[in-house]
Amino acid sequence: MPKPTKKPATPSKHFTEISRSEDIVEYQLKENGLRVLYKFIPDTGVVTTNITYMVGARDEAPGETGIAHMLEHMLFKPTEFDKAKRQDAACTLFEREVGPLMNANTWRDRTTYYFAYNVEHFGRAVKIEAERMREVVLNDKEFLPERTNVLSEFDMYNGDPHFALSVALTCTAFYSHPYGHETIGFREDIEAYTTEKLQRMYDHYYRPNNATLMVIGDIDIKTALDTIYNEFGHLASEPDLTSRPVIIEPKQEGLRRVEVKRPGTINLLAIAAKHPGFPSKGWFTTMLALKVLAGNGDSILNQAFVDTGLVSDISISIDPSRDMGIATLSLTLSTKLDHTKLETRVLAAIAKVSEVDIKKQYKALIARTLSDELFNRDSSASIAAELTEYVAAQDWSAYHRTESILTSITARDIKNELDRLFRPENLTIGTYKSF
Amino acid sequence: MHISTNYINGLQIGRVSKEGAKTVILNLNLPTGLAYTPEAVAALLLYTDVVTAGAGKLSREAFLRAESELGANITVTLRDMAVSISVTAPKNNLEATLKLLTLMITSATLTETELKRAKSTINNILLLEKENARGIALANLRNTFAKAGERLFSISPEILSATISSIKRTALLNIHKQILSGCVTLTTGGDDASIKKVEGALIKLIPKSTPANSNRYTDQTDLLTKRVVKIAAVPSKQNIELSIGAPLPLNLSNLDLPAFLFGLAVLGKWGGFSGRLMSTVREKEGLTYMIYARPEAITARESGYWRIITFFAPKDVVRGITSTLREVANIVEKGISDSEWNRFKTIIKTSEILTYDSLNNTTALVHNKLVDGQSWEEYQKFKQGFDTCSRAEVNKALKKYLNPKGLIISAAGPIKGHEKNIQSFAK
Repeated sequence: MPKPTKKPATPSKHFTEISRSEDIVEYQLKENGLRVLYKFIPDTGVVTTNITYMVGARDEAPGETGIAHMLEHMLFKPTEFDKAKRQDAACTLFEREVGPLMNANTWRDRTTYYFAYNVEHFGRAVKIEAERMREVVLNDKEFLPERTNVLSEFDMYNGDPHFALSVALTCTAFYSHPYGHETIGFREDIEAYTTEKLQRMYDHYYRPNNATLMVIGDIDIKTALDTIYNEFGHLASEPDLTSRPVIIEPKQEGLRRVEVKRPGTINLLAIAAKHPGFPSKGWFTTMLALKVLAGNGDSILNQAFVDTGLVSDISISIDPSRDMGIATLSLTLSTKLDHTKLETRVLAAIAKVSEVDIKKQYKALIARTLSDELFNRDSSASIAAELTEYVAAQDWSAYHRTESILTSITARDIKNELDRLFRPENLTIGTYKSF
Repeated sequence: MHISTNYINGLQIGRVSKEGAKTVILNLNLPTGLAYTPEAVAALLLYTDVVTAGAGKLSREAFLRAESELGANITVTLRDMAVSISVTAPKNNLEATLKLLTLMITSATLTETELKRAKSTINNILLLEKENARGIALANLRNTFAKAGERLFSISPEILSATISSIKRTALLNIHKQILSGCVTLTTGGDDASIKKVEGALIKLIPKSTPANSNRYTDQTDLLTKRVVKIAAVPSKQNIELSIGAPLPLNLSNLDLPAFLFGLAVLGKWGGFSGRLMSTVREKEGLTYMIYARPEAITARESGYWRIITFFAPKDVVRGITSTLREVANIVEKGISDSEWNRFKTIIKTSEILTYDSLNNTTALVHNKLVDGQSWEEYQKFKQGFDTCSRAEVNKALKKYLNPKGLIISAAGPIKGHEKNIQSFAK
């Protein structure tokens, strides 16, 4: 966890400095609990503001899957202030008049909104975030066309065989934990949303004491905090905002399987394994274990299957989810092996991986991963994007500990993790078959 | 950040200097001068794989391992019949990375074994293209105005796949022998010391006498006068992908281009919601998740084309195309407004400023401009065109080059039952 600050500096009397790690400082607005993460990057003239709410797909009830994502879309609609001025949504106007980088995304544990822009627009960006935290108008006139857009987005993803299989895998891997559906939800649920459901979620979660505002870039701390206080200081916190319930996924007692069949030509095999939550050492160990298998052209499975033409492609994915999630190894079949034979061979190849094999790759593995981190922190927007995942996992200071975590992981740790990951009782295997 | 471009011994050099940068990015563009044939493209595709698969005494595995141990990444791709090499490395491993890169450039082994492997893996990847509806829609749009052998013609994955098996190792060796003899472009992003190291290591490898670029390609320069509809079935998809556009008889030196691009940005600026297409077809009508317009393949010497990229659910495809064409017709007939003219000047400037927040993105921008034939000074002058063009010039350019009746509408996806309706847009 972040190191508590011993002597709180007070660039603004309205904020308490609660922790710092290297060049990032965390403040809290006394009036309502809003958290602010600040990182100064001089001489760029650019600032990224990113507000992350602790609400995501995991907070959705059955029959309402994807509603956190739907709500994300609605935050680009007019607020009461906009309606009073008879104008389009202030965020849209900002984009149409100035052209900032503007977007949002929803994930399992969080929903995030961000702007990147010239520093002179800082006040405007902060005002927009404050206004839409509480004042978005949720009615059918705004909601119904936007729902069509979300359905269009759903169809875009769903047309991808990898996504279709991922949905099936996710649902099969979890019995009880709310990670058991994709963030965008099911089409049938999207079609059944109502503005009342959206309003209920908005009223509960879009509160200052459930949000972290990141300010990364070329703006001094005093100006930043003063502006944030002016815009957010009057917003009420949610007194009944309780901690999320701790949901323990029931013990898996055997291999789980799922199949998707569609017309087409692509055939896939996906092997999903449950992994520890982010940003624990276990999570990073899982990531390295997957990279040993298929992180690069010379990885073990790439050599055994791609280079020999047995599969067209191998990819790995692991979500930075706060709780136990699923990491996936996806293989696109060529015409040389069917699903059953490929699965047998892949699992056999993984079982054969020895500590010696891992040691051969170890130096490269760590160097490449650290280098990726360095390149991922190339701009204010990319820093904010990466930091978001740490904020969502409620341990943002781990952002500065990735190097020490990675270098503490040994080849033996990786071998042990491979053995743990690919036990049948930890696996969900999915096949996508074209006909 | 300090940016400059110049020529050294006929080599185009780009420099993006950032004090304190801990990373280094270098991009090399190596035109091959090969004619645009399936054989040459197939050979180059294989070359871009095999050239990183062993050099000097290093096997493929050893080469890739050495690269990874440095935290470096050497990627070789094909770009308009040029070999494009992109290298990233942490600053503290730059010298060793440059040694590895030099070894690859001077002593790639290009073995028969690796060629066989590459044939198999590339063939497998080409097979997957059958379901790439977006790629198919684009290829069909380009092939409406570009003929086989022309730069903008898309060779089908099936033809490439059939050609790949016949490519011999000698073809790759010949490419490698000639690889540094074209008009080489080198762009480096990093601190001053890193830039100096990169140039010191690479410039000496490149022959001093560099032939001038020749424009061998015959580009489509006529505007279309009628609508053409292309339809391809990709039944596994949920949405119908669309590329709607036309050839654009302008290159980077044409004075009409900034005004036209300004107008195209108002119609469908890439990214975000500020373009008219996003604010109407998506926001007001709820017909798609994304709809953007942009120019493509325009260089200092060659004209390209523009296109709208979007997708619609099959049930909405007719409404979607109708709305899109309505917006194209509106902007041509009524032009852009004063408000749009003022706003987009700011929007275009903001977009540029945001690019400079990232060393990676700035280096890519400078390199792409150089490869397209624009020095940094020329690019600055070109950009001034956005500031100085009048609203009347923008509207005139739109009227001249954006013809709603001379468009290609290329659709790919689950079109069964919708073919006739889509085809009716040809009228």
